[in-house]
Amino acid sequence: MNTSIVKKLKALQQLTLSLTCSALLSLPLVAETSWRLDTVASDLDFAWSLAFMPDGRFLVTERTGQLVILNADGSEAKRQAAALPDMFVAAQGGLLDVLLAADFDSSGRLFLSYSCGNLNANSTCLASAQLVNDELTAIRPIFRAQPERRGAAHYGGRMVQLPDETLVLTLGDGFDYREQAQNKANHLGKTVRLTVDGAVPADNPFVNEFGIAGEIFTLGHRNVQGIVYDPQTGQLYSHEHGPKGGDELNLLSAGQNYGWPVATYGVDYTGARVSPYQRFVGMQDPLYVWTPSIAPAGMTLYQGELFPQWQGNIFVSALAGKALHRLQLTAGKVTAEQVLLADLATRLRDVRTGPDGAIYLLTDGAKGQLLRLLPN
Amino acid sequence: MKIISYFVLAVLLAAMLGTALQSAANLWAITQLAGSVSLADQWRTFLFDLRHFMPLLALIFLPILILSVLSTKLICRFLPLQPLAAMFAVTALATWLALNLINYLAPMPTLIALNRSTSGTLLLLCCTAFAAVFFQWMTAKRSTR
Repeated sequence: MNTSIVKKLKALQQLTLSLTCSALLSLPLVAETSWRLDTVASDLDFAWSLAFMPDGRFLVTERTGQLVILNADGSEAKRQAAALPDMFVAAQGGLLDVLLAADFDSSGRLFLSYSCGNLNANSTCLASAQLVNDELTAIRPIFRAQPERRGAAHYGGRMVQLPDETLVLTLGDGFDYREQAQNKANHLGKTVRLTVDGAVPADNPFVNEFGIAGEIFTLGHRNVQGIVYDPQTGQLYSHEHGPKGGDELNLLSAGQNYGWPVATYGVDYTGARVSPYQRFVGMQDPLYVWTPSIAPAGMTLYQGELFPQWQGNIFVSALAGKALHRLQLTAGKVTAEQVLLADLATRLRDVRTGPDGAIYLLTDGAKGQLLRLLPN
Repeated sequence: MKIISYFVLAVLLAAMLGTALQSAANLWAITQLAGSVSLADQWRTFLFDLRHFMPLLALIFLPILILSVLSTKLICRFLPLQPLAAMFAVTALATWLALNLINYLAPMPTLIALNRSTSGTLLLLCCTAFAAVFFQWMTAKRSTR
């Protein structure tokens, strides 16, 4: 064999090797579409939120007022009416989010958000409690959004605990009070940051400013239904319902104004234009907009191990959209969106990453389910 | 046939008035929050609302006006009422009842933004009431010729 043939054979060998490597490397992309969906539990009554207990069990809130503990296999361990002071169950209101405190392991402490009051005067409330022997005890209201409003819509109610242990609670504009989202004197259409006892942290953006509610963290929101903190980057993401169109994914920053109702990509349900502006000077643009609306509810930033190809992706469950939206972010921007589980044709209320790396979903409705998404 | 034309005209008049008021109210609210809105943006908003909001408003006002006109005609047969005043009052009442029914049935607390405040609600009632008066006046005028 002469040297030129040997060289050509070697080149061919290298090409074959590199093609094989490329094919192997591209496998995760192929596997991206391969998953299975298990039903963990059924018969949940308008399940709203999910938390994972350290012993492998699940804690589920039902908007109708029950706190449900499910065993790891999905069987019901305990169902109790959450005896929250002044809880108001109607339309979009009731028992909302549950969040285990960072020290839940030792303290058993958790936080529950809920709507409180009555049809003519209600609000979003936050209580801390302890779970002792599966019983909810030491319930203590720590925050009540002001002012009270009529109607049972737009409560927000999602929570996250930051590394400094403060809580960020999302709120809504009360639907009929949209202009109040720009009024810094109250909590309508805001996110608030609180200590675990409900006090105003000293480093809140508007603390000690005259005429401004010190609890405010961000303003200009319509109905924030998802919030997630990225411990790797320190970024805080939220999403909110737009009216007809204009659902938003936002990157929250202390003291910033997110525009509603001055800057919006949506119009009123009647078709009327809420504002002539989609963007406005001094107001933050959304990272991503859904038009037509998907009604986002629940969000998780995937950092589990079961789906390595989904690392760092944001998952948003959708009510009206009846699907799970996977958002790929690059340099703080959404670069791709994939719609999953559309074939379920079911309203999805919440999505969470489990400690096992699986993705858990709650379906909405009187016969709600807890679902688990696993690699196939 | 002319009566139907006048009725259609009355419905369109009510819907157009309501649309203009809704646009004005929304723009006024934005002005309070973000400063003045340019004339071009105001026009664009009104034209947008004419295309996207007015059809729904006309659809809501249509049955209200049908029922109001028929009821008033019936009432005026048996009671010695001034027809224009009766038409105004009955239509305003019917509109108020209809708005309450819509808000009761709709998933949101208030469907039409103008209906959120007392002043806005009164303006909406005036839209249909004046349209009904217009219809009564036009048809009555015809019948006396």
